[in-house]
Amino acid sequence: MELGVEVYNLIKVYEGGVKALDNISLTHRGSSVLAVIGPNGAGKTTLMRILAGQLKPTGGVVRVLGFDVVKEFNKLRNYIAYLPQDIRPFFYTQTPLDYIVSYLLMRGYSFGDARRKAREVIDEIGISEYANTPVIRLSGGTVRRMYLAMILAAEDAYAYFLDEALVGLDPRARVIAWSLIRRVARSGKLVVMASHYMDDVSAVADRVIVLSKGRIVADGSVSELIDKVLKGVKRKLIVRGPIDQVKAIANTLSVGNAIARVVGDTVFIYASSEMLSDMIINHIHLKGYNVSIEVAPIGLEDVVIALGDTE
Amino acid sequence: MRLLNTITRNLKILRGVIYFYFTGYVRRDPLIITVDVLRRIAIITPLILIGLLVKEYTIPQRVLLGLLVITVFDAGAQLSVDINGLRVSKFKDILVSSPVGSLTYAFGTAIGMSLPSLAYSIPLLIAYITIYKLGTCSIMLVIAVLALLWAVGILLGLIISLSIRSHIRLMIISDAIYTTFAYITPVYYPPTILPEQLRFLTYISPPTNGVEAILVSSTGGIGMLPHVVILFTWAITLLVLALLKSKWRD
Repeated sequence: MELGVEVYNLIKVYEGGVKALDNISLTHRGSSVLAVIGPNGAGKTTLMRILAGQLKPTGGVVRVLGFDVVKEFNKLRNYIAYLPQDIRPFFYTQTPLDYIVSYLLMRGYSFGDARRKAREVIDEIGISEYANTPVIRLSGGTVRRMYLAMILAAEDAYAYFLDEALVGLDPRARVIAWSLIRRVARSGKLVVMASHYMDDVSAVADRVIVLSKGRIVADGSVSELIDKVLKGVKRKLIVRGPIDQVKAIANTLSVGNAIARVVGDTVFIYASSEMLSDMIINHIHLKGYNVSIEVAPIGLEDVVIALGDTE
Repeated sequence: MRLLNTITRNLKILRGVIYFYFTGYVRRDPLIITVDVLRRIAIITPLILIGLLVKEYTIPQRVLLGLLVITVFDAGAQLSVDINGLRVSKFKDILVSSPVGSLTYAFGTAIGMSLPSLAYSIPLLIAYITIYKLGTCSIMLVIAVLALLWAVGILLGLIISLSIRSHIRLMIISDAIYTTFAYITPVYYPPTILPEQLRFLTYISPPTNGVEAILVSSTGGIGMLPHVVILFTWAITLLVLALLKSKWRD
């Protein structure tokens, strides 16, 4: 078995003609965490669903762990685990222990092993006090942790696909989830995760691909992406205020050594030097704009913002 | 050897699917289970009383049998609703990308979803066998007919769940179909009391054929044959439709 994913000229067009993935190619090998990021509607979930064998591609070839996801799915499904986004409980009266034990039994575990492993992951994810509580009484975040623990408990899998798996988790739970994901990857497995949370991606991903309008627009490690997309950027300014004023500020910066991206009532300004950012701040004050200005550290989210809806 | 390993593995997975539904059922609020039992008793009580008043002991036999048949057939109604629920909750997606194959899942779900029905039907079957003193051969025939009827009920539920995506609509339509078969077609009453033109129509109904087949089971195989053929036709037709319509992966 080859630990990795290979995607060649992948196209996915939904009924009605919506093109979700537009001729993307990607090769990733080895035990690691591969993250897929991008704006809403970029094609992240479609890519995850195709990799997990849920959805058949319109064109192209996709191989996961060396198996063709269309022709050899019956073999592939024995070695993968998938957590879809927006998952809800099916039986509301079942407990986290019931869910995880059932899932492991469905993967061929013995009762003893399933119960032992279920207890172990419940402890690790930090929900042991709710192990025997019906899920109807649990918070959304706790249910989400239960599902994440359930999927990561499947030690017989070699590739894990996590689609927005950490949504709704509190900061502490997210740190625990990061350590679990990293540990799975270190144990010789492949984790592919789609996320909108750049903290999560920065914390666990070895490689990040950025999707926009169904195409890969950037690819590399977190630091590589920041270097590539925000090349030469030394300082980030976040300017918030009335939309017309924010747009006016962005327009005056459209030429020069700064990148300006308007998102709602906020303009993100990436300046190539501290002097330039100071000049921009002075300019904004001089013009009398009624806006707030914040100097912020540069992170992975800036890659997505700076790329915008890149074709 | 490889085939044996595959079978063993699939049986283990099947056990997991059944366990999932089993815990799903036993964890239900005891009040819900009590109400369910009461509802079933409430259905049979007036029918038995009316039967006793109207035609001595012939109708009570039919009522007991009708309840047994409907309990078995009704498993499909729950299946249709729960299969749709599985899709809506996205739990199905987790199972698709796992060692659980579509056939193992379908079979496991059918058995798992039938557990409540089985829980009610076993005492009813024992009561029927004991009260009407069935011989071994008759018992085997009754079980065979019930198994066939169960398959028809399950496949009908599957078709309904495959045809309707809206959960609310599905619950309403499923309820309407199973209620029609259970209470409007002759199950608790004999088809002979209907006008001859309508009688023909009622023989299309699976539960009616189930009841009729079991009632004549003590007389041997020939009398059962037309009813069993109709049930088989239902099963095969629904199975073909299910295979055509079902889509495990998108």
